[in-house]
Amino acid sequence: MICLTEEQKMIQEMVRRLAKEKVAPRAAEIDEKDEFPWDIARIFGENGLLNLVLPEEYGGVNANTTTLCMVIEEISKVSPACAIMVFTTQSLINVLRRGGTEEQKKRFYPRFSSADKLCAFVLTEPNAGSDAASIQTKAVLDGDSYVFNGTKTFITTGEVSDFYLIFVRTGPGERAKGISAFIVEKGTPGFSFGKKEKKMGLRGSPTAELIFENARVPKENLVGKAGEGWKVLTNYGNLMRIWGAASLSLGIAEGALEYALGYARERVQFGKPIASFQAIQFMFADMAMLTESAKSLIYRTSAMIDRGEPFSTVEPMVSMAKCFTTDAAMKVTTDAVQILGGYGYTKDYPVERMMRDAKGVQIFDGTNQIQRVIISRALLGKL
Amino acid sequence: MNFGFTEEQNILRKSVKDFMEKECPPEYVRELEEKEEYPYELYGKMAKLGWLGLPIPEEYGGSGLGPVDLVIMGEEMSRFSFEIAAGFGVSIFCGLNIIEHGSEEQKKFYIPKMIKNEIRLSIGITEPNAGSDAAALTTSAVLDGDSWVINGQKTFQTAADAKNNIICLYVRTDKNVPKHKGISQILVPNDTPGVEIRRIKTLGRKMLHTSEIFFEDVRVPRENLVGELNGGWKMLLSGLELERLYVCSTYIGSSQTLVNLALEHAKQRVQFGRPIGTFQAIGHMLADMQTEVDAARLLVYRAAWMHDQGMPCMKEVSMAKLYGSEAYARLSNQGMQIMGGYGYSMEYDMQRHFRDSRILTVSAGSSQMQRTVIARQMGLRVE
Repeated sequence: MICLTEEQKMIQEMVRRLAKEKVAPRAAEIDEKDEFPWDIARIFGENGLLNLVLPEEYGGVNANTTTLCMVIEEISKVSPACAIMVFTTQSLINVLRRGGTEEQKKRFYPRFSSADKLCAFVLTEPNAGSDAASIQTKAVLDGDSYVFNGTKTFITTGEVSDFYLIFVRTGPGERAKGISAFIVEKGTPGFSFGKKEKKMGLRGSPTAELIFENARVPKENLVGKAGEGWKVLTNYGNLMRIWGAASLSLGIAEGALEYALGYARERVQFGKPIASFQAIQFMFADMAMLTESAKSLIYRTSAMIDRGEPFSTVEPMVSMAKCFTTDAAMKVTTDAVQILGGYGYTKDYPVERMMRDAKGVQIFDGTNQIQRVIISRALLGKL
Repeated sequence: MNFGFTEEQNILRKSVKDFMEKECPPEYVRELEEKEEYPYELYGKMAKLGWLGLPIPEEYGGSGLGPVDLVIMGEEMSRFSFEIAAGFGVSIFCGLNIIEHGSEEQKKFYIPKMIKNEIRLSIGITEPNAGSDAAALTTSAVLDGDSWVINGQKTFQTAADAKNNIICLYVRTDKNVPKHKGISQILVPNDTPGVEIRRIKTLGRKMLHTSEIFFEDVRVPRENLVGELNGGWKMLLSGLELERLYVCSTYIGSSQTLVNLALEHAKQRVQFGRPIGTFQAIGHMLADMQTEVDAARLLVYRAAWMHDQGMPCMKEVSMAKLYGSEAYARLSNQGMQIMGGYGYSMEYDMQRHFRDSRILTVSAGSSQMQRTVIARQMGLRVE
């Protein structure tokens, strides 16, 4: 079904091994301590996973959408929290690659590749969640720089990242028409971090508050034109969900299904393995159908994107994949907990963590309600 | 048809509500959960009002209230905290079992202490290899002179590690008969030498705790045997209808509270220039949620009424358990979706509903076991 190139197969094999050997043994601890896993970040860096999207001359592999989906899927089978750092970092590089100027690429690419820096994608504000066009953080041009003021919240990979792609209000227009995108570096005076969210799941992947108080950002860091940030967000940002939330939850579902299968074969009740009861068998059949459907949807969509099909065709496909896969992962992980029973509810087994993580992905990267808005608008037009 | 309650029942409902509003505000619940503390103090206050004896027959110091009253109590307490309502039932149903099957001395000794909150009672059935298949338990008790010598292991024991707790322990006392016929109930104080309790880390149930218990040559007096030797299986099943009925009542108050939380959020949270509850997708989701809570409530009330009339109601109680627990878990997931990132944050109560509800489709008879009971009551010889 999924036609991978030789290179993609090699990457898949490498990531699978890395996930199994290096990430899986740390997954429970990362969740328990809710601390960012710098050791894993280093390992990902050493193995090129933080620079996948960069051109080869900068140490990347020029990764296309399918490659990114595959990498995120493999890591998420064992730890979506770890996969997220790859996701947000590649998001910024990807936007720069597609929407940045040659000057910006020359300026930033070497810095990404030399030190394996982490990056974050910054949109949400306290009063602008699903309604992203209502953001209020302001950037005002003053001489050679823009002056930033405002607060961003629920920022994934915040604080640990060195580079931030930030959407702010510059005008001239209202709502979606007055938004611009900038790359802002950590350490910029006036740019600081507020509280770190305590979350139910996706722990170890920090969610931070970003505060701007007269922070000056050079005007050369504007990505695209002033007032065209919404285009950057939709044209590049919306499509990244396919290798973001969608592939993350596909990995979660596959990880949970595999674990529950192993358990059900071993666990004996009423004198036989519980896998021999039809109620359990049918649960597995349903879990597998959901997971495989999600996988087909994701890789069909990624192939469409890689073939260069028009944005209007692929955008709703991406939303369908995000919504369907995260809902599928929620169901599959919940069923996995049910199959493991009391054991599934304990911290000694991974499925309760997978379930908590799955819930987060139904919310993050555009809630499933917003995905339905995108899908229905594509079907019906704007009414 | 009469859907009303008696005047006394209305007064009971109001007094539970008034008490909980005053003594068990949300901050208190959050604090206990955060500290993972058993609600000794609150139960002490309830004991002063005589509540720990409400369903206990008058001759043992209780008030002899019936199933409908119990359901009212469970529903109203659980509006404030699922765990506090659930923990309330743990001791009481063990006490009722002793009243049904124990000796006069046992009743006179344990019951008044339990009513006064001086001791607690917990139930000990589940073992690593005896979950849904409870009769497969292997923890053994052998008579040696005037004492029972107990060896073995229990797991997933709710509230077993509370202070001054007596474990109503189900043990194997005859290995040479069919598995249901060699089980007995023995009372074992949790501080008896040889009893080792180890806390299991779980996703929820943070106040009551879930533990493993190891028994190594634990000696208790011969007279701690409850009722007939090898008559334990009957005791384990007796009173199950009432106990399960009470358990169901704690789902409906909790479910109502979480729907109220989501509803409040949907009214307050403004996105796209209006409260999100005015969007049809959210408004209809809430309509479905409230319908489910009412359906669950009516299933519980029907079963309580039947029990009160002395009608057999195992099927109806099992339906209420199956539907109510599945609904609570499903609703907490939807409630979190409505609250978005806030719902996923540990600062809000929604995540507690999500965590607490997850085990309820497993504990007190998993959904799979309820379906088996219902199907058998429908005349199907389901294995």
